[in-house]
Amino acid sequence: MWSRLRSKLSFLLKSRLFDRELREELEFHREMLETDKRKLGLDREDAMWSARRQMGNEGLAQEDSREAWLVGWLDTLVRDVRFCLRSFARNPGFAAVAVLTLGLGIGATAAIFHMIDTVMLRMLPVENPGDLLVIRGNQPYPRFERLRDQNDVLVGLFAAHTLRDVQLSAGAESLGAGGVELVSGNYFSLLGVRMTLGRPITPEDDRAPESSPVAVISHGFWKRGFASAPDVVGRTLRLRGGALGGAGTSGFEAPSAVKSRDHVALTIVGVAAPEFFGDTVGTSVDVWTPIMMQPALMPGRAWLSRASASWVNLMGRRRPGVSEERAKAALTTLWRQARLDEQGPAISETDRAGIAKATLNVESGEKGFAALRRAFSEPLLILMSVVSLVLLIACLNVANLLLARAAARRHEIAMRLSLGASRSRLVRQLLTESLVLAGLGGLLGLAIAFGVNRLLIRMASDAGRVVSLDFALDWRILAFTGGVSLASGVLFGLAPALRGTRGLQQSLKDSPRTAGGQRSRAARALVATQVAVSVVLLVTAGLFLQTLYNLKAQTVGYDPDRLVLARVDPVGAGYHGEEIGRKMVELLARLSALPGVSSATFSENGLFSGTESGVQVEIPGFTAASADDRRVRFDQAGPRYFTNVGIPLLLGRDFDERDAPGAPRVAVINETMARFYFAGQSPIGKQIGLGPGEPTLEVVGVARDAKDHGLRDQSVRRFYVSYLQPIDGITTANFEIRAVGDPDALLSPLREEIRRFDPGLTVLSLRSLHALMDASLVNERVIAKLSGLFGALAALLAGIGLYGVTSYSVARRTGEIGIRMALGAERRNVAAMILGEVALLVACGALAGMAAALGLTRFVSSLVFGLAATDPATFAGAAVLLLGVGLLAGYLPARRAARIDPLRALRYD
Amino acid sequence: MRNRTSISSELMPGTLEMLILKTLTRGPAHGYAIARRLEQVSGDVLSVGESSLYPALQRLLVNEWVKAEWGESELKRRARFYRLTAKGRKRLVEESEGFTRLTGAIATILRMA
Repeated sequence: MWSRLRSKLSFLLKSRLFDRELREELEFHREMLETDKRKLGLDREDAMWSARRQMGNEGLAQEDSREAWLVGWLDTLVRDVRFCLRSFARNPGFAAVAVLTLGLGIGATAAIFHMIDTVMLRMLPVENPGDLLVIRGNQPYPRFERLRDQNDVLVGLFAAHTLRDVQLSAGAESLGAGGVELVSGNYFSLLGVRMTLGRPITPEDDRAPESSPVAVISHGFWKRGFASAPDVVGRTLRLRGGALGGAGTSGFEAPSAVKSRDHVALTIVGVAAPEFFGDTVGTSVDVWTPIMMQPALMPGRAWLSRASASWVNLMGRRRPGVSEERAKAALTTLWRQARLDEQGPAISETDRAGIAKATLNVESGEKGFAALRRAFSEPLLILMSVVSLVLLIACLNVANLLLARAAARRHEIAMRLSLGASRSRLVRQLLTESLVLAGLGGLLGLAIAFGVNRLLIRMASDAGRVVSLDFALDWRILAFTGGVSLASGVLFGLAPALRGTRGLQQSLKDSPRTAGGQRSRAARALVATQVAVSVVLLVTAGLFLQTLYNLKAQTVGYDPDRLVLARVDPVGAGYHGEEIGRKMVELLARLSALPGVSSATFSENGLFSGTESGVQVEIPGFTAASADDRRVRFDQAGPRYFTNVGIPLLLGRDFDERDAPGAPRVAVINETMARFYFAGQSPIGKQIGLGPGEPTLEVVGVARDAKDHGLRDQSVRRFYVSYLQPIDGITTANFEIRAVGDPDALLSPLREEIRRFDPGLTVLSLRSLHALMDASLVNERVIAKLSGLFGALAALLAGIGLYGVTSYSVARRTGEIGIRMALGAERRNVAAMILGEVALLVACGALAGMAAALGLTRFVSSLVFGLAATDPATFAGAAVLLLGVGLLAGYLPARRAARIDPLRALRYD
Repeated sequence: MRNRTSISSELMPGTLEMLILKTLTRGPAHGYAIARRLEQVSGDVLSVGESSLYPALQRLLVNEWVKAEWGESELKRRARFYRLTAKGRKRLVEESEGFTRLTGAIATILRMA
């Protein structure tokens, strides 16, 4: 069989050779015929024509010869498929349950695979993505110029910075909010992006700030915003508003002639190719504009010349023959030198040593910048493991169904074997049946996968972060689904097929009812395995659901209810220096006076905004063992910050309007910081140094520890200074506003009031604290919900499996049960016996499952919060839950067993 | 001209294959020679057309009852020669036994009925 298969395969691979050889053979045949005719005395011409006539249809000969190779296997395949479709039609319940089960398993797996493929595996749609390198972390623009111009390992290095939620319009028409990426002039040539229309941004556009107000738009935006107008090049695009992106350090500016502008106008010069979505998977860019337009788009921030503002992402392309290691070493050396030069000659020895030790994080850039990949890869891998287990359960379930079917067809199969069918032929037919099931399941799974994907994206996105992923039906997902279907078809089909066709001579003699002890053992093993896998899934789900609950139940150190966070951009509005603080105090008064506002204050970083500041402090009388001991986080807070946010003060006083420029610089520290630096003494009146040439602060209060930015955060050392006495440049203000009633009802009055205060003051974000907290838990929520869903699905499938196996066993043992009852067993004894057997089966499976879970949950221990990854209650809970499912599944068959009429049962056999 | 029977369409399926196998017991031959030999031995009663001969040869190849090799013909032309394999020899024995039994049975019926 195998050698025939091989020769058929080689025929398929070499079909052109086959045709040529056959043609040559037929040609030879005709020549021989012609020669013989001439020997008989025909002349040359006549011999030729006569031979041709006799040969007849050469094409038909070829056709039939080819068919000789194909007809055998195609024919049997078609016959097998027809046969099993007919048998499914006769027994649609079986087919439907099997296909649905497989569809769910395959669909869930394909959906997660598609996410992983899109987020983690796919390469950037650019030229030779393998040569690209990404430098992790933002860099200042002047340092980028140095790295770009002085390295000898790269063909080129480009800088990029993305602005979110920029309002786009053309003519009088608003085109909605979109992503705008500022890019250096070599961006398009270095990535090798094709253009659909017009020209890309070039180094010519990089000459001087604001010298070239042009834009390239994405293919998607061209279609969406301009209906793919062929004359879009030359039109004007207007941009206004825009968030600050992820700039790391301060953008505090010396007073300069900064004007707030209504909008920035750009001329469209080109449309990028459809496949180019940008350089970061999961975020789509609508407009690219030269990085030299930065001052216009981010007014008040002269970041193109500031060495201390880290804001650009860098990506480069290696020169041919330069290894990743060599490129990394060369760039690190250059980067250290640049950092030393930025510090100037007055640099301290510790800082110098620190720079000498620091390494530049260079990694492969073939998949682009990694924001989404880093955020989602861990949850996705966990979910992939979970859905693989679900698929395994689905396969076990279908294997069980097939086993039951094979047992029911024992007679038929035995008959066919004895009539001369070969065993391999029958195995092949049974396997075809499981592959047809798998194929149908795969098709259904594909449909389910796309539904699940949309759901996943909705779950992962929230008002603050929109995940845009390009899901298309491509060959990768098709190949994956096909492969998974095929593998699962073989997995669940092979064993029942082999078992079903073995040792059947006996079964022809047996009565159909006594056969099947073997199948029962195999089915029990399958169901026990299902139970075990379900326990693993339920334990996982339990851990993640409790983690989510624990995180939500975390006390943050203040009342999170009815709080609204409004983040504005005073620098963008053109305020500078002390004016910022004054304006914010004015705005605070306006917002506090709004109806529905109970109290309000503001601070630089706010709560759950994701932005944090840190600094190294020097405390007189405290000897730091390491640089880490000097590191403290801080925020700059407005008047009555602690009172209005609701963080209790343990000692001293809150900030007020007196803590203004000119007054002594004061600080409030948290409990952890007080304990760490001033253990056993009162911190009030103590000094905090911020380094040579920097101001010294006097501690005036101690506040209780609070969770400012993350529910998982441990208590860290933190202090607060007055917003009016900033120790670091102010870039934003976050207003913490306590509503009287529903915080969401306050959102639009607040936005209105801010606009009335100053139309140039952009609102960067406006959300309730609960919404922000929820957003910070998006991964936890996705994992908890999905693992809960899949755990429930697994328990359901295990329940179906248990029900099937118990019903079958009751049916098979009707006679035995009848005898027991005739001998005096009571009905409830019979029911108890059946349920006891189910319980034993579940217990065996559950024990194995708990042992497996014990080994597996340590892989997720870093994600579990508030309980151990081996939490005994969770383990026990999962086992008890499945026991409940098992008893429920066993109840109906047990009742049936109890109702058996002994007389009829005994007569029956 | 005598009445000729075309093997492919008028005989039972599998007969042509059996006859080819039998022909090849005399030694390897190319397609044309096989056709000639079948006609000669049958005293020109049976004729075999190319459109059934070559597909039949391919079926024999698929089942590995014959092997094919390119060689040189009597007239120094490249031709494909078919050779009987051990499997083919076994098959021929089975087939001809079955066939003899069958024709015997048919002949009996024709005589008796």
